[in-house]
Amino acid sequence: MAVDVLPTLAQSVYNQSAKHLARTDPEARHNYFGHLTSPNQGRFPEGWRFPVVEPFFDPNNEQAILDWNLVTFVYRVEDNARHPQTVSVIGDMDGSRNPIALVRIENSRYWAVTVRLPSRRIYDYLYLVDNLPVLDPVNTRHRLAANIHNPRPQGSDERWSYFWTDYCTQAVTFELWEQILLQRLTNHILPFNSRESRIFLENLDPSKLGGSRGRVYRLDLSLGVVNYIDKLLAGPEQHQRAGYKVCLAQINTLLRQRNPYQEPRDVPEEMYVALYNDLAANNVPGWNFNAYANPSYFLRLLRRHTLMGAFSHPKYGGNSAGYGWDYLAERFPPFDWRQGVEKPWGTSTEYRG
Amino acid sequence: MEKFDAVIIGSGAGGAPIAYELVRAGKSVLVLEKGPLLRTQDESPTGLSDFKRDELFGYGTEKIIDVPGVANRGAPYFPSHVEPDLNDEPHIYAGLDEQNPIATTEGFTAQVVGGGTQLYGAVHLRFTREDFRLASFNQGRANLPANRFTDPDVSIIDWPFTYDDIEPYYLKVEELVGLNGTTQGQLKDFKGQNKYQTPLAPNPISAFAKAGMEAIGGTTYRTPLAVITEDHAPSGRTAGNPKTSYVNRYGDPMGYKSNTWVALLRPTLRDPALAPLLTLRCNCHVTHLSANGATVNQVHYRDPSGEEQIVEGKIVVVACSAIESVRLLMLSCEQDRANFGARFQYQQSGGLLGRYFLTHCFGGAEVALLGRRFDKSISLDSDFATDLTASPAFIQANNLWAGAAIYNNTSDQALPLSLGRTHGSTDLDSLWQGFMGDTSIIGDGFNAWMDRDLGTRLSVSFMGNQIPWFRNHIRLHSSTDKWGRNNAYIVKDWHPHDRVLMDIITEQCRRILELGIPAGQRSNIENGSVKDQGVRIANHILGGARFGPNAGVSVLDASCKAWNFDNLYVTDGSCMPTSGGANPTHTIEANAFRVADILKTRI
Ligand SMILES: Cc1cc2nc3c(=O)[nH]c(=O)nc-3n(C[C@H](O)[C@H](O)[C@H](O)COP(=O)(O)OP(=O)(O)OC[C@H]3O[C@@H](n4cnc5c(N)ncnc54)[C@H](O)[C@@H]3O)c2cc1C
Repeated sequence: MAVDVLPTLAQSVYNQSAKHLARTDPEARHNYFGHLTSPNQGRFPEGWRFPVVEPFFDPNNEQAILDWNLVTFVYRVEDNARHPQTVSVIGDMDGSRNPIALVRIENSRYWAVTVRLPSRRIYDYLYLVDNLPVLDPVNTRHRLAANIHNPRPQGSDERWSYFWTDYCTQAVTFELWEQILLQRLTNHILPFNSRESRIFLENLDPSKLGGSRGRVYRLDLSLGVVNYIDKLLAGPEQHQRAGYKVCLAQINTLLRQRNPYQEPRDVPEEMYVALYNDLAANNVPGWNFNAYANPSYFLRLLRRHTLMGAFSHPKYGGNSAGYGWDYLAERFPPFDWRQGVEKPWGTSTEYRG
Repeated sequence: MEKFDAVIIGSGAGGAPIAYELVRAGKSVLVLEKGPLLRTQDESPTGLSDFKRDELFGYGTEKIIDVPGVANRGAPYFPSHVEPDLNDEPHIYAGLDEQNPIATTEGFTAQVVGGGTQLYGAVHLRFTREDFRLASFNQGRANLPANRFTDPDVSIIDWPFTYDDIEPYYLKVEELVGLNGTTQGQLKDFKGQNKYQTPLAPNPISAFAKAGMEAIGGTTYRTPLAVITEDHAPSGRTAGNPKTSYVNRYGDPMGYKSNTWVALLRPTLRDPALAPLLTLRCNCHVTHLSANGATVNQVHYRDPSGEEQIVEGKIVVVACSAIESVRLLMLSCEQDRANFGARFQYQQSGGLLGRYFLTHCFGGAEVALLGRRFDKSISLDSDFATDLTASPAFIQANNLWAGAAIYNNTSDQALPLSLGRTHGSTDLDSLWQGFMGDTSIIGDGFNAWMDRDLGTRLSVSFMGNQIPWFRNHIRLHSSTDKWGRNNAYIVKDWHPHDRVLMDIITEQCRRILELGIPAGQRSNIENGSVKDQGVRIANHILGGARFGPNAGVSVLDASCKAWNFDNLYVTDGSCMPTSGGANPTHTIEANAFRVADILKTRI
């Protein structure tokens, strides 16, 4: 199926690009002390915002905002006096894998194209600049994706730039074992695990909640909190990714030391309680402080990420099916988040999202 | 070269009213705005607004400060989607000792068409009669403490006009921008006229604040808010339901909040007779001005992809929000010390550009109601206010030099992430730290925390005059922004008398909660002010290029024209010689309308 190419509006491209991409200073101001190794080494802030993913609205289809995104690819030319003849983007956006042409926006440095793509997916892509394949010089997300048709000469770099659309639940940061460890840790932080909360959750009547609940798989993963963190660490908080990985590996080792007879995923709750308390006290027997100096910092970070994942907008991958918000409304009446929020999550008759 | 009757830099409170008026007087106007044009839902080509009711828009995910040489290098910050990236364009702050300067998001309002009025809480108070004449008011007062007022660095001057002069412009803002509120109970003289739309029903939690304000002897009024509650003919807006609590720090996707884009610029561009006269170029960053003698003849800016452009204006109006306006002028001085610099006495003795930087004395009290919960997410930013502490009688009785307005906050901490972000934090730079470190908030402890804090917290705040102090100033820092231009350096502290004023008015706020809520129905009252907290600059960015009677004491004349220039005007908050005992935007806009009337006769 060919991709829907929509009108690319100069004003929108400038709005999305000027703050991040317009500059004269060549320094790498945004590499987070060397944590980001993108092709440009951190010259642009928030490289993860590119390509720009926005919600899509269809006046005749309330469901469309869940199912589609508008995605704008922006390619910035380094020297405005020397533009390529053509710029296009190739990847698995388009079933036929045909390049999608970008157009130069007025006489700016920017080439861009806006397309409509299904939500809930990861896309790998490259730019073809005068037919030469290059990673997106701005986006800091890239990965091996050898399985898709590679326009580059055989044997050369197989890395692709990638992004995901809203409500995506495919993991990009964590292995399964990491996800499960995280699930158990975040479960311990969140209130849903307490007795009264469990009763609440078990009694949720999906038919009363309206909208499209149930679309979200992986509900088992702590209301999507782990999925939220997975996306957060691949995008906005990429700089925390390496630390997370080190800490999860250590926790895995520690739990195995503390209980050699069970997989860390299966050890009793008390072991996670003890671990949480050790981390909180920054006194974790067996912790390798050379590998990660401040385990309590990891816990603090995890606390913030957990709260954000449980109660931010579901499109970011957490707060699955809006259950986090539902929980607050049920448990702490008269809190009514629905009235201001767009359908299908909320009930606002004005605001569309 | 392209030439306009007026080039206005900045599209916020200080810039937009001038564009609005000059176009209607038949002048050609260019507005250059650094930020994007973010659209409301009804005007957006996608059918969706660029602003969202989404907590991660008000305060985003974590970024890390990496500005060389600052004390907080490596610290996290959580900017909104329309604040600049700090590693690209920081504000550098230090106290008077200039030890350990830090990079901060404070002092940036919002970089977007509409400026700070897109994100503001929209509390739109007039200043009092005395706020404009604090030098005269304090003249010969025996009860002012000499130990604080013999400081030669304190320089209080009257505004170059009176309340009566600006009153018609207040009325104009109330009508054109679109405000709701009540006049009754205000200390200000409305001269029998009322342009407010009718306020919406207050959030029930605010009844306690009202009762408390009355119990301490105040008369209350509905806090004037720049939010339309009825259809608004001057801007062509239709009313809807604005009560969502995504107010302070959130742009309004529906355009009910009266910012300068939906209220002033958009209606101008939508009028076919006026549109040809107004050019709005957003995503354009002005880098410096250059002058030929006393005439500013070139405005240099970077277009949306970073190319250098130059335009010309018969007059040039700078309205970038005070810190950035002062910085722009200083950078222009640096480019041409001999002429531009000399005209501002830049880095010469007696030079006042950047001096008397002001924010507000700000603080209040907060409490949790026990056993009751309200839905604060169905509200606007404030419901009730009182001018008790702004009255001359109160000021005299308390040996203060100036007063303050008090109002309750309604929309704060209404949403789950905001509870976590602000738990135990005192400023923008310490967000999340309290929640992250309070490791007892887990499982049932999490429920207990929400039980205690979600929809139960009531706060009252004051906004008071800060002393104009020579030592509080803006200058250029050695670090540079993404264009290689020096960043702004803000050196500021609280004058000893500011501290006294804050203590006295904080106590009034505490009493409001004490008397407004029966004992036994409230938690312990927490109270305090910015003098004890990390808040240094916050959101009200004033002074630094003040206007006054002569070049010896001020940077601008009464028409906001720079003294030694023919055509250079500064019309944002930087012109204010005293900060006023209330949130500043109403006065910034009214003054801009006043200046526009003068400019019509000069072009
Ligand atoms: C979260 C928040 C809440 C607030 N709440 C209130 C409130 O309740 N009541 C109240 O009265 N005030 C409030 N304020 C303050 C209010 O926003 C400001 O007082 C007001 O906007 C100041 O007007 P200004 O013209 O000085 O600056 P702004 O309105 O900020 O306009 C300055 C404009 O200049 C642009 N600019 C800056 N540099 C350049 C450049 N080099 N080139 C081109 N353009 C440039 C900026 O992008 C901006 O759009 C709040 C502010 C914030 C941030």
